[in-house]
Amino acid sequence: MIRSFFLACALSVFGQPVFAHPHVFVDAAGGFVFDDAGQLIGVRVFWLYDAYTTLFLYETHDLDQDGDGELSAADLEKVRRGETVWDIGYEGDTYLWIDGQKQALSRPLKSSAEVVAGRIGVTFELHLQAPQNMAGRHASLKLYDPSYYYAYAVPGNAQFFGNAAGCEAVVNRFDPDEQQRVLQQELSSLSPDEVPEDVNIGALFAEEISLQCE
Amino acid sequence: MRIILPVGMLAAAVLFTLALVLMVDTSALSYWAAQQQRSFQNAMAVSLQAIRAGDTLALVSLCGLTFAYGFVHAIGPGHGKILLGGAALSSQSTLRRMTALTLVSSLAQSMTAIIIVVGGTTLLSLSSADAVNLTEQWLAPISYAAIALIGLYLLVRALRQFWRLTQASEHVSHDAHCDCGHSHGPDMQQVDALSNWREMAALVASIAIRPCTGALFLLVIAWRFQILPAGVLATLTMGLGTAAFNLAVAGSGVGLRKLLSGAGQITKGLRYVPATLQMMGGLLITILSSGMLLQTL
Repeated sequence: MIRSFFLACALSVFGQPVFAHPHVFVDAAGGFVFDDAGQLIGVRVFWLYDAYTTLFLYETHDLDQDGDGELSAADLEKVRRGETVWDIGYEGDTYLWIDGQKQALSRPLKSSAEVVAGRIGVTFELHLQAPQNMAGRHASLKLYDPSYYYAYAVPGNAQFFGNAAGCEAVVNRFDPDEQQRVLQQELSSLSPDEVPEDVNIGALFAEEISLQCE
Repeated sequence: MRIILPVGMLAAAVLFTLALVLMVDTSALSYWAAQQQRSFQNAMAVSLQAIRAGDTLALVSLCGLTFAYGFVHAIGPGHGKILLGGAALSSQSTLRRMTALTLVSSLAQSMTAIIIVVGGTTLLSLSSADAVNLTEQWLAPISYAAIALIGLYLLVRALRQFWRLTQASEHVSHDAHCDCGHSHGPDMQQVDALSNWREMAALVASIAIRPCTGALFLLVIAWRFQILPAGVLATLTMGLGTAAFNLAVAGSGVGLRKLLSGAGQITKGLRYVPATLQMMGGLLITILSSGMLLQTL
């Protein structure tokens, strides 16, 4: 009892988003990719960086050397490589669960970079290890940075690619009050044996793209 | 009876501080601050491009934007508001001294950003990505650790003060007219933790060692656009914006201390009030900054 009280204290102190600090804002889009047979093969993700970060990327990737403000094909290739060739262990802030089971995803495939109204954007796909028959199943896609240095928002609707017959998806947007209520519930139901592995700030603010298939 | 009062006040102060830390729900505020920051950030990009294109008036809007960015950004972690608020509660510092400390620490933080970007890239040939990594991975944890140590220092001081007071009060009750030359009451000088320049320098340094990543972005972009002087100026106004928010926190700390000291005067516990407040401030600083430290490790 005492232990769970202290645990709850520790969690609510150290799990507070007050310790997190976004510097890069990303308008993201997430979609589910199906094959012709209607099986889920992976997800397609689009990141559109804010205008300020875009200018910072000019420096980090040494873009626009002629200074005309326009990005050449070579510049876009530098962006594509820089943003979609990831260090080992980096999961691309893209997390997929099927029926509550976290899925291992591939490294970025079919990646590309573009400029949309002066902002740099990249698109890539992450594939499942094997295609999944989704009939009667539920998938949850979350785009977030665990450390909340990157703040992802999903302004648009969920997207579908390929044969997604019988499936529907909705975006569950972040609601501060709702999230806090859930966190409090989790804390109050915590027993000493149920120490969560990771109290994750980024996940607290994450928007969920939820897929349900018949 | 004599021991009940100080121990009771001590326990109440600890409980009150813990309740403060646990009860205040900051997620909605953090989320709001992040949304504001996002729009200021996009507007800053527009101003920077306008300045590069030769629109000198855009410098005014850039500085206005960085001031606003500094203000909302300071609502987020770091930037010393916990330390400054806790220190205001802890010490006997006047509002004037806290104002000076707040301004100096925020501007020093801006200077660190300028030194890292200008000095680091020219002298040490750091890349801009290195500068950001250095800040996020090294300087931020170092700053949190330094702030936590200051909190501990205040805590230890407060406990020693408590001990001295309980000893003194026993002594007084044995012989109310004792004239043996040692101090009985709470000497303000003993509680005042921020009275010498060394302590003040430590406070400023613990905040300033970690520059704001937003300021690093600003300077790197300005340098690339060959408008570095504009970037330096806008970084300093960003520091002023941070100072404006921190000032509100430090001012509230001073106000709260005055209020509680006032309440203490109508009870017998007056002599314990300064040490109690110092302990609350120290505890607040220690808990929150070690929380941030753990998060970054």
